Amino acid sequence: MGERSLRGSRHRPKRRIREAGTALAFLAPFLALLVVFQYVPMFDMVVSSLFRFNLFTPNQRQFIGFGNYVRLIHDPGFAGSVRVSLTFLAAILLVQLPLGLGLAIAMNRSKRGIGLLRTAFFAPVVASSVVTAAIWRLLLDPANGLLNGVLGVFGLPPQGFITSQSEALPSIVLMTVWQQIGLTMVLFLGGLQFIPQDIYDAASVDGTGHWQRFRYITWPLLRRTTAVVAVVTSITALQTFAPAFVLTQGGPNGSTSFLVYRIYTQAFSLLDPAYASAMSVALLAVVLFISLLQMRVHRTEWTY
Amino acid sequence: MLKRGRSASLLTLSIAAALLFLTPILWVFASSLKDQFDIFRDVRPPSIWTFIPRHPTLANITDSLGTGGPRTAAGGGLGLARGFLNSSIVSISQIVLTLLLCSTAAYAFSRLRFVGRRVLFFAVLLALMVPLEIVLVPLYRVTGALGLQNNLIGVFLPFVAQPLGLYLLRQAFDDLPRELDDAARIDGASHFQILRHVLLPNVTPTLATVAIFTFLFSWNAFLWPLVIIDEPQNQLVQVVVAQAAGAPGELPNWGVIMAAAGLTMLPVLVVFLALQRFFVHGVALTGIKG
Repeated sequence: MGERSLRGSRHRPKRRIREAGTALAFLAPFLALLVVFQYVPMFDMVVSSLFRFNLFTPNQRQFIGFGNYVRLIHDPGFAGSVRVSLTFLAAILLVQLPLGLGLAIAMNRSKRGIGLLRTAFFAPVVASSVVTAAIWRLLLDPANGLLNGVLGVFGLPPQGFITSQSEALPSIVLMTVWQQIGLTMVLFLGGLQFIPQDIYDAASVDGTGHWQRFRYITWPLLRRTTAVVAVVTSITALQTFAPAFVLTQGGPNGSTSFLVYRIYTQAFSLLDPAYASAMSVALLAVVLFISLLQMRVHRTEWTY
Repeated sequence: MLKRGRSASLLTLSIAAALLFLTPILWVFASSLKDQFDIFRDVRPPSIWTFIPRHPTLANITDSLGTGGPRTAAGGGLGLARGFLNSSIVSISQIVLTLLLCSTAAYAFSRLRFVGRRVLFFAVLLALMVPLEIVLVPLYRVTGALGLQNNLIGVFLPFVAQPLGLYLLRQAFDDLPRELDDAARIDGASHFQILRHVLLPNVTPTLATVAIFTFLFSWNAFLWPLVIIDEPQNQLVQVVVAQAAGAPGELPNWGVIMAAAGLTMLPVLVVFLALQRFFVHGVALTGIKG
């Protein structure tokens, strides 16, 4: 980015103006849409969060200052959603990252057929969250689902899964890991391919074992990739919506009321977009915090 | 390097894991060709017949595509064919406009000099950090105010100014030597001609990557179509599937849901299998470099 050629400084003014005109013509459609559909909504979100109004009568609005934010702090439902989303985020990180890394190391070989295996593990990534949730609704069905059928083979009692308050969120974690682990694997594979083979060869000469090679070579050199994967995974996890809509409607008893699901119902079922906007601002703060972490990590250079 | 025996057993283990991993997808495709009785019977206990239809039927597929009758537990159409048509219109428009707008904007950032270039590029990248889920409510208000509610244009127009596409194309243009444009400029080519005939033909892998990711994003979009489209005849595939599978308090028609899920997944699966190298290319670009 931002490299400058020497020719730039020798441009004559007339040509420079013409170039700026061309630039304007080339950029205008993109920038206009970006402003209308990205920056105006961002601005509207912050402004709306300071008012109170109904979704269908936005003109009868009442300025209440930080009233929505005060309400946010005292709202046990919102606190519950924050807890659900953060618990989900932590669980996904703890399960998906180690499994994805293990899978990437297992798949990081140039053998015949390995490409086919990678394809198999990546395939669910391209399925939509809705299709995934629809499939898993039937897989996890307590009465007729395949998973309880499999448990029966091992003599285990059928489980409630998404209909049970304690099992609903873990079930969605399982489903999400199934869908996304292929992406984690491919990202880690990208990182693994940057580690020079000679380092491993040198270690082999010294007679190091698998674990030591992982602990002292792979893991330290993969730190940057791991950070990127953690950020991508976290932001994706915070955007979770379809599982709540298709599988649980946020239940049982609020155990899967993800933040985005709460924002959606607050705005479009309870017709209260102002309060939903305040929730969105809170979510934006979390996402920006994570993105800033990523920038910091990116600035740290690792050379090998 | 692994020893031979261990390597072989690891491979066997990987193949078993991959098969287990694909079980849900195989079950869906098999079950969409079964009637409800067979679907239920074949899971307890699971056997090879769980994944092979004994009495194949196309009833689920025709029921999910057609619109005949109300959507009830007993059957009736989901109208998925209509959803396919709407989603195709949206996806194609979104891909064409995204490529057009992103490549012209990327050209300006890569090849032209103007005041505020860095600030504008930063403003574009900043938008990359804010996912749709966050601006959902105000975006609904803005799109509604423009009169695009319940309109397929309102489904794709907000997303054609795609920061990621612009970023990837700018990187690709920056990697091309300027001597290419200089030669064309001496021949009297305009900026648009240089973009069209010199730069774009040299970045086809990146164009393909952006097109594929846009397709995936567009075809799989759910939350936005759910809020911006009300009328069933304008609805997109994902919403049709979600409403069929997620209807609370309704006994689902399993075969129809399986068929709808399978059919909806099919186009992205085919595109993915056919154009896999661009996926890996794209994930590497976005995940590691971005």
